[in-house]
Amino acid sequence: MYDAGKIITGVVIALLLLAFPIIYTVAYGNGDAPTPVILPEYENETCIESVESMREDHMKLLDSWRDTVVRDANRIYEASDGTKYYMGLSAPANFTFLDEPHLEGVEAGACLICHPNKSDFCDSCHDYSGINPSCWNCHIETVQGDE
Amino acid sequence: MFDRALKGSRLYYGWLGFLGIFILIGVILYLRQYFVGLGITGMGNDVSWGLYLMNFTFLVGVAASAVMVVLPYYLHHYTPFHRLTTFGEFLGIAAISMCILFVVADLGRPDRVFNLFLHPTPNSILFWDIVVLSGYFLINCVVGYLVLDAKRKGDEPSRWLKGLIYISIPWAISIHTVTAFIYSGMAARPFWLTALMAPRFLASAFCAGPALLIMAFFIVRRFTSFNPGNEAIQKLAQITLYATIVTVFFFIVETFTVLYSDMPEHTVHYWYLVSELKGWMWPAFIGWIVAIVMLLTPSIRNSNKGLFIAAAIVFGSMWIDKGLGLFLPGFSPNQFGEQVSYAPTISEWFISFGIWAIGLSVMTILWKIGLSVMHELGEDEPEEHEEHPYRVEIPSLVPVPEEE
Amino acid sequence: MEIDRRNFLKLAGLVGVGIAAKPIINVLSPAHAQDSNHNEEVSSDTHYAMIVQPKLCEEDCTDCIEACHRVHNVPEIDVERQRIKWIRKAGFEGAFGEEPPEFLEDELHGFEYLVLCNHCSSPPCVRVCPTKATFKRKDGIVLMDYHRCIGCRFCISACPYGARSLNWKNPVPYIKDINQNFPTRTRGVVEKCNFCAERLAKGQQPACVEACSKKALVFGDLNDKESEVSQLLRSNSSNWRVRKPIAGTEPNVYYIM
Repeated sequence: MYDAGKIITGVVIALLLLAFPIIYTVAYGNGDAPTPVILPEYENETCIESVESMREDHMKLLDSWRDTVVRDANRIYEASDGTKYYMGLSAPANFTFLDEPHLEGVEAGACLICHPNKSDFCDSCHDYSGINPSCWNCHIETVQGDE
Repeated sequence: MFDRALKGSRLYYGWLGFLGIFILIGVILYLRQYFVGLGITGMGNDVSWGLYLMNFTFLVGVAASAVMVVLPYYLHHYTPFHRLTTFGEFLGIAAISMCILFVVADLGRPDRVFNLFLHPTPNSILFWDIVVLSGYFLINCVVGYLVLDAKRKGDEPSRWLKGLIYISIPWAISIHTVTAFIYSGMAARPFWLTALMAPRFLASAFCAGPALLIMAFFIVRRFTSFNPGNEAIQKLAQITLYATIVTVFFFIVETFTVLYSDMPEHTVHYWYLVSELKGWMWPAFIGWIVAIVMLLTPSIRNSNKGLFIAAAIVFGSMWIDKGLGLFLPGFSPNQFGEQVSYAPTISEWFISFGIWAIGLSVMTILWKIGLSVMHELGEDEPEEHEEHPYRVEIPSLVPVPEEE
Repeated sequence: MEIDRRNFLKLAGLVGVGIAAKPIINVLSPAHAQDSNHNEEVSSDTHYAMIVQPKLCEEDCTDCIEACHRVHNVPEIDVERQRIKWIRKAGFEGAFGEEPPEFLEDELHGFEYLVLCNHCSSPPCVRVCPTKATFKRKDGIVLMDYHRCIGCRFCISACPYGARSLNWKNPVPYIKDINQNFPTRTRGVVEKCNFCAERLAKGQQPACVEACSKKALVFGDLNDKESEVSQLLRSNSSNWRVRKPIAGTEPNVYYIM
């Protein structure tokens, strides 16, 4: 190889730069990554899925909810533990719509019911990772009426 | 071979720099459009497609016209086009790049463009347009590069490559047919609801494209050592002439159907074309006739200046006809019978110029590579048999008596 | 190792494709699929239609238009050509695409007819949409999926009735009074009347129908022989028309003249 010394040095430096985030995290830990805040009044609620699977897949879940609600007109989600939830994003003003006979046994499942503190819950992680979910360009986060 | 694009004259870099200014302006204005929305254009809910798709439609035609150089050589061994096919394919690449950019510039949500691939919809013609345009782009990239490379090494193109070239011929026809189908399948737009849309598109493509090639080759002959050959240029002029005549004929037959049937849903759009838009359309119609006369006159057709001007007139008239003359009467009167108007905004014009500048840059760079390779191979000048392809000795079937 | 530039580039390309393969497959794979068929709230047994009775309309009344636009956060755009209208009024020729019949009743001359999306049974907008962002639901409602629309405006060209509008810029600043119970849209997507699908899901009538104090608008299920729409159409069997039937779209908004 021509200029072997320079090339190998260059490749090593490039690899170090690319791997820097990993090396830093290994050395100093995930210290300043935010933890989403659950409000005290909802601490005893169970989420529709486990925390681990929500952390990893909540975007895929919301994506599939979006298609199921809009395109299939189906608002009932069956969680992995069998509970049925009424899909939604913003929290409804009241839960009287669940009194419908065909919604027997279905619980309210809109995200913002248990996480109304969007800035401490959703935005804290999203801002940290530099992600800009566009949901709120259209959907309205203020807890008001049914979605 | 790409390093040939990096070694050029001052003129080459100056031209690219000049185009670069327009690209920069276009990019800045497009960023504004991306964040503010399509509202910065002159389009509205009545005239919902404007300058961007006018240019797109026109350029799909220019891209398809590469077949006019490829077909005679590969199917009919018309040797004068031997050195020109690569440049035709490179023009195709540049034109398709512009088409893709114009479509993306026209989208309301360009960030969602991949929805076209994530949710393919075979019943939508737009889906098929994306398919055939992407395919044509890839074919031209592969064929253009590999044929030039083979030439550079003194090889013949391999059999599979020849097969791909043969496929590119009907494919080129298909890209413009599918683009025409976008318009010609809608009951809502009677001006476009004609089977003649695809043939008209192809006819106008086959004059605009070769006209552009004529102008480009004249520029190349003036500023580089490459000589495309008189025979080749005259053949391109012939193709342009006949395609222009066919275009005029198609317009006449459309006129007859509209005026003789006297159906309001057709006549209102036709009158919008010829009277509301007369400031643009009449120059285009006159341009067609003038160009036909010029191309028919041997003294003009054989003169450099005359042919260049005729080609420019054809190119400009076709742009007007396929741009304004297609879109505005299609949208006006609108579905409520109201006459509506459209004028592009400055941002729209300069974003369009920017995209044209990108396309011209792609064409310049690719042609530069082709011209450099031709020069290295010593193929700057046409060979004798390419300049006089028809003066071939045809063996006589009857033995000629020996002369005393 | 002896390798020429060409083969190195080929190898690098293959490596790149190999590295990119898994992430791309991840993105394209569907989320955990739900067996949702038995949970649908709409059925193909329903065939929604609307009847407009122009003779019952009050002149210069726009209650239905205001109600619809208010409930659905339809913005009031300043630039005329960019205005968004889910429901509007048009003259006879504008609405029906033909000259008014010579012996049209006096009261209907110069009348402004209510026009909206016809939720056609054979919708050309659905046919042309390249991403299925506009789609026909089982119960016949032609809906927009605002998440998927790329703003290509093919549907606006294909609609014979001018029922669709693009958001040419961000609509939120132009909404007079935001209804918190309904989302807005973003710039770059096309929108139109949705037959109040969100209200139908709660057993309510569409906003325009409810807002009309003269009961000029009637909405219901044509498959239900006892519904008001079915009965009205049967009793007015030679007196109704639809907009531009020649377009072959089979509109579901009927006008009883």
